[in-house]
Amino acid sequence: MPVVNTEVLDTTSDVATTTTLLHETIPITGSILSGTYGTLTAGDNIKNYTHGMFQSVYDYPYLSSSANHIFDLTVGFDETSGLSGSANVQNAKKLNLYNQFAQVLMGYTSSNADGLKKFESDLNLDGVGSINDCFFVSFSRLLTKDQIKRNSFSITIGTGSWASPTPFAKNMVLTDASASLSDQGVKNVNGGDYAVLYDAHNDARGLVFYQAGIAVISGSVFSSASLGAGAGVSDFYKHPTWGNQTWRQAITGAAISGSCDALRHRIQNISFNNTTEINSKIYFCRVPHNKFNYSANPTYVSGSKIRVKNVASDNPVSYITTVGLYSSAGELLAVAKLSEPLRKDPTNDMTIRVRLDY
Amino acid sequence: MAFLDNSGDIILDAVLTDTGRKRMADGNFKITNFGLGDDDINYSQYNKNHPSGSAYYDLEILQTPVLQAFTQTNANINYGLLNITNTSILYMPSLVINSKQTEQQTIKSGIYYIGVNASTVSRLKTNNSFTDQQMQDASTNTTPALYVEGGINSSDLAKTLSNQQGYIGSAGLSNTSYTLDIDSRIFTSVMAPANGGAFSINSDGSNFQLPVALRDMAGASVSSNLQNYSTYRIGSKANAVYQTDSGTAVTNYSVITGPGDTITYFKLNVIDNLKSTVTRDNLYDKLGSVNQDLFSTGDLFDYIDTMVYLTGTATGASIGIPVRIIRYAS
Repeated sequence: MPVVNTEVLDTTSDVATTTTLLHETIPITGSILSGTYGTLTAGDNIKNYTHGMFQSVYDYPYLSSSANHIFDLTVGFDETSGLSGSANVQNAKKLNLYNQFAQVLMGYTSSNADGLKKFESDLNLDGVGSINDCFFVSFSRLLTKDQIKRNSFSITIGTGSWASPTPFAKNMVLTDASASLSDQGVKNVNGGDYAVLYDAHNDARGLVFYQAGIAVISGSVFSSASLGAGAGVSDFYKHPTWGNQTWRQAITGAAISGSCDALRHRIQNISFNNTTEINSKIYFCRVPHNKFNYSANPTYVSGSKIRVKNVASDNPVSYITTVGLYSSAGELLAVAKLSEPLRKDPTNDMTIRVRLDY
Repeated sequence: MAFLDNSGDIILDAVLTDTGRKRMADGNFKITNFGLGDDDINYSQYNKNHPSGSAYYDLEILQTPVLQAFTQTNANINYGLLNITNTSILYMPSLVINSKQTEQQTIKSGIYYIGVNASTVSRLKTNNSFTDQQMQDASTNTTPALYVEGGINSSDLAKTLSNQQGYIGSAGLSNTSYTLDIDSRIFTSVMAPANGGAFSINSDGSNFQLPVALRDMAGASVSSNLQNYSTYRIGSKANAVYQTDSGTAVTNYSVITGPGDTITYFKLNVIDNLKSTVTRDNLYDKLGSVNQDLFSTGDLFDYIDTMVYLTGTATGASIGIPVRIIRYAS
């Protein structure tokens, strides 16, 4: 049945468009990544593939429909890295992965022989301080939504001994504290905006790409003899066959999944705020004092007499529960329900603000 | 849908309807108007005799829990609030089915029947105790038809021309036309009042007239609010049945106790496939029931039940009419 009466919305004064950024805190605890759903490197929430190029991490055993994909982990190095060598396990795949991430996130440049712009440990684009070997943590869009919020990313990595109950006897906290919402500390490249991840000693240890939702963790976290990790981690990974391995030994001599296992075991927590950009249209439904005071509701009358009146001079009253938004053809395109009835009579007017988010 | 949380501030729960999402996918989503509804409200809870005074009259209504929004268009605003600016209105026209005359279809066991073909009509009359008045014959274009009379159905007001003008006409409450919503899967069109004819009686109680001429209505539009429904706009005749000087009871002709407004009437044209005496259309299986001994006479019938909605274009007064399409099977 068609609604008899509607009011026209003036597109200049009754309709407004706004954009709102919504942020959620995303805490990822290390016990979810390693230990809760299996022992040490194994886990029902860890999915390895036959191609062996990356590892997927879920928040619950991934065979369950309740599981949510958290992120993918992989590792790679550039061909100019000292780590590259044909004898390495999965050498080609590690090269390809680095190149793929570099190509997508950094793009190509005329200043390199191969044209590929490498990751750098600063915001300069001069090729100095390249990150040639690294982990890639690619977060699911379910978590990052439209992008990671700047100045909110933090990852705590254990740099202690593998042999300890946990590797968290020594930790390194990497943050993007140098990045600000006003574009300071941020560089825009092919893959969007990125900032440098610094440790507590202000040494660059990686990058975070906000729109792409990808963290690049430099191998220097585990191999550097400088600050933070001390003299480097001698037992970065305990290979099932060859025993303890340094970062260098693991990235060259272990499969990608092995290196991913090692990093996953060493992540104590990850935290960031995501961002959802909400574009809204606000309709100001202005209800004048002299309209919408009567109802076509069948219960409004009893024996044709209006129930809410005793005599003709009584004010008519209606109770609004629903706002319908219509097209010019009279089609109901959107509807809003009030959580409680609103009394409407000729002594009041009101503006009901209906916001549609896209 | 659940109820909305009404424990704190007033919130709005807004959703796009199915139609809205479709329009968005088509790229022609444009909102131009708004309307207000109160489908959740039962105004009979308005207690004008509350012992604590007028501040408590609408206590029950204001505590009505409100359901979340539906995405189906027809489940949200079926009636709506009205833009009438006159604040001194005390009565609003109601719609009532008039079955006083043999041309005016009457209800049978809680529903209005339409026999889809001549053999069904014949069988209903000869073997199942139906009278002519108890069914529409879809094989003809003559009455009986469904008559709906509008007016102030209250004994507070005398059934006079002056009251009709004062309480309805001057108040802008006259429904001179109506919209009729019918299921387009079952009906092809409607027949509605043709020119001529009147609904009237002389002041001395003589010469009662009932309009009976019907014409096919064109120009149906897809119902904007009901899925699978078409909307027809149909006319009406002035309700000129007033109380008589002679004391003749006009209740023999009119079902509206007070001043009348208009009267309209219509027949529904069933789609041809449903009329076949030989082949049962699968719509009977899909939308209704088949081979049913409805009247315990041994006769088996196929039938489909549907609702027909008539709405006054001025006041939004509406009436839902249950209709049964019936076919003699064996």
